[in-house]
Amino acid sequence: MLVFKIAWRNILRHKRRSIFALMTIMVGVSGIVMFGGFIEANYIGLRESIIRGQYGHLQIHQRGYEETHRSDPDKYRLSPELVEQTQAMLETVPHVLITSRRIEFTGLLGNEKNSRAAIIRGVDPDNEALINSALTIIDGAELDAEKPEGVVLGEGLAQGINAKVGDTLTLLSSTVNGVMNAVDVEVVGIFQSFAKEYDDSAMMMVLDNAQRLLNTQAVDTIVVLLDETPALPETVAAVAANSKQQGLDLEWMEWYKMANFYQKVVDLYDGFFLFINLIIYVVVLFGVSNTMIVTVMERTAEIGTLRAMGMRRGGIVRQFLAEGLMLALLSAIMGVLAGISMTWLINSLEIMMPPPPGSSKGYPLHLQYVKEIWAATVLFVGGIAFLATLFPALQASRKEIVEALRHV
Amino acid sequence: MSFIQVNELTKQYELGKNTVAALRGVSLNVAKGERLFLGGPSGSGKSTLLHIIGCLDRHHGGKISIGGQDVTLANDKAMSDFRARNVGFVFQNFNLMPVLNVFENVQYPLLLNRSLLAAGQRRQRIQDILDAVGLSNHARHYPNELSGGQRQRVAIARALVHEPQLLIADEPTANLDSATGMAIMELMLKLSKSHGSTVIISTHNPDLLKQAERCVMLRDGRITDDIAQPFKPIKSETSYAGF
Repeated sequence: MLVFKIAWRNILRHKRRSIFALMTIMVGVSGIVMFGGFIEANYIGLRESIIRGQYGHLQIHQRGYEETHRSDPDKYRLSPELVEQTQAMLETVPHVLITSRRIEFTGLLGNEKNSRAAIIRGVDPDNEALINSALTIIDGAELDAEKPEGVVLGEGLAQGINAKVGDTLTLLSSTVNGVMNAVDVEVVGIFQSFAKEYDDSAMMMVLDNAQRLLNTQAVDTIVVLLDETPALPETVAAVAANSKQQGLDLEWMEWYKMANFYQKVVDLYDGFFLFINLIIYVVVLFGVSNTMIVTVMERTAEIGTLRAMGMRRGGIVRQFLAEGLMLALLSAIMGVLAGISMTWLINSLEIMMPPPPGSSKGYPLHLQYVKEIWAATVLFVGGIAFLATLFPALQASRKEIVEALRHV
Repeated sequence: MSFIQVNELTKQYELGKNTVAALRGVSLNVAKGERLFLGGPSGSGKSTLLHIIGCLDRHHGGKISIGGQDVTLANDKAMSDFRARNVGFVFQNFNLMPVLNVFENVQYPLLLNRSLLAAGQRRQRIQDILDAVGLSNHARHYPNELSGGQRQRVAIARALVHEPQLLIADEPTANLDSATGMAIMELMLKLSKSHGSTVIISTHNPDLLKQAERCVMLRDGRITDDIAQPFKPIKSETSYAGF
């Protein structure tokens, strides 16, 4: 206890130096807390945009679909019976909020003057509106089951063929039998998603109309939306167990396995975060080390006295380590508190950010409160302070007693 | 058998490319409870001898034993433990811990030497020695709130609180005025006698050397005189409360 008492009083005794070291560490740590919160908010925002804009949490297919659907999309589609059984099974799984059927294909969309290749998604309009809550209808309305000929176009696609809400277009595709087929569709809405590239070629239409165009009753996918994303592993385990038990020949894919873009963003941001952490930790290292080197120099005579009184070298090391660690941990905790306060302030200011690369929408600046980052930062700063203090502390312990006593 | 036996002690210092002999074969015996004054001009080797006897420094040649223990070959840890249990130091610059108050400064040696005293006994021991040095009313004061004489009295209390066998004082009155210095010396000798400690004091003060019961004079790293004389009690004209 005396070690900590002396350490604490020495920190207070050299107020100016302690405050300088404390501020250096505090600013660094609060920076980590805020930047970590910013990144986490981006991860969550991007994740939910992807889940609710395109993939859902989980996509269920007939087994074999994933391997073959690009070359032979019709081979492993879900039959109406299997869809019914699967949706019934999913109703019993906890956390499943909505299931929605989809069929995806490519076609040619156009009017008298323009035409464009399009990626078409046939959907259950009511359920898909809930799953696709991250899509923004910028003109017109969402798909309506009561209006089967309606389509919504991505903003870029609509611009490409100069289509407006209310226009009638022709959609051309080949049926499952390989025969070309066409339907007339009416533009009921234009949407924006999180990715501009997607909006340049995507459109959605009512599932029944899409099936009519393709001459099939089957669907590709049952999209599952959960009540909360962290429940995904538990849900997947339940789906696996239930489908095995009920003999349903299914395969599934979690959203993150489909979202390569998300993983790349995570890797990129993780790299930024690591780099900024490294810079800040180096600053902490030098800040603490500099403070402790000066402290050791100033207290050379005191070290000599303690050694003369019989303190072992280890005791001297412990004394300075206690001081360095106490200063650093106090600063780190204050830095975390400052970071939390700044996070609250920034969130309450509701600052709008410009659209990120590849996106067409701005978003409100929001920082997450990430307890794991707070704890990890305090631990890291503690570890770095230990290293930063160890060298001066060892130096202090190795001083010749007589030389130390003569120090003025 | 003498409490301290010093035989042919030598010590050199490296000063740049030169080697300076600080002690050139010093031999000395000190009896238990004896009060020995070391005198001599600056650079005579008295501080070096004091540091070696106090186990603060190592010698290069010769042999030294304290209380029957040969400290020549002891490692740093053993020397530290030996000092913690058996040696008390009073320094010229008082060397108190600035962040500890008087009570805590005096308590420190009892914590360092892993005293088996219970907390209550420890407090009583500190209270007793603070009473003895006349500072019981200053127990919660910090060193910067004390005069030079008061600081040195705290240093004496700290040096004797663990009842060491050996008290080493390196020019303890050099930073005090003469009246305070005499009072400090009187106090130190009185307390060390009551504790039964052997005392070795280095000083430049000729008045103190004249009054010493044994005075060893050094010059150029050699003992030039070893004078035993009847002890003339040091009497200061200043009371404790006055410095």
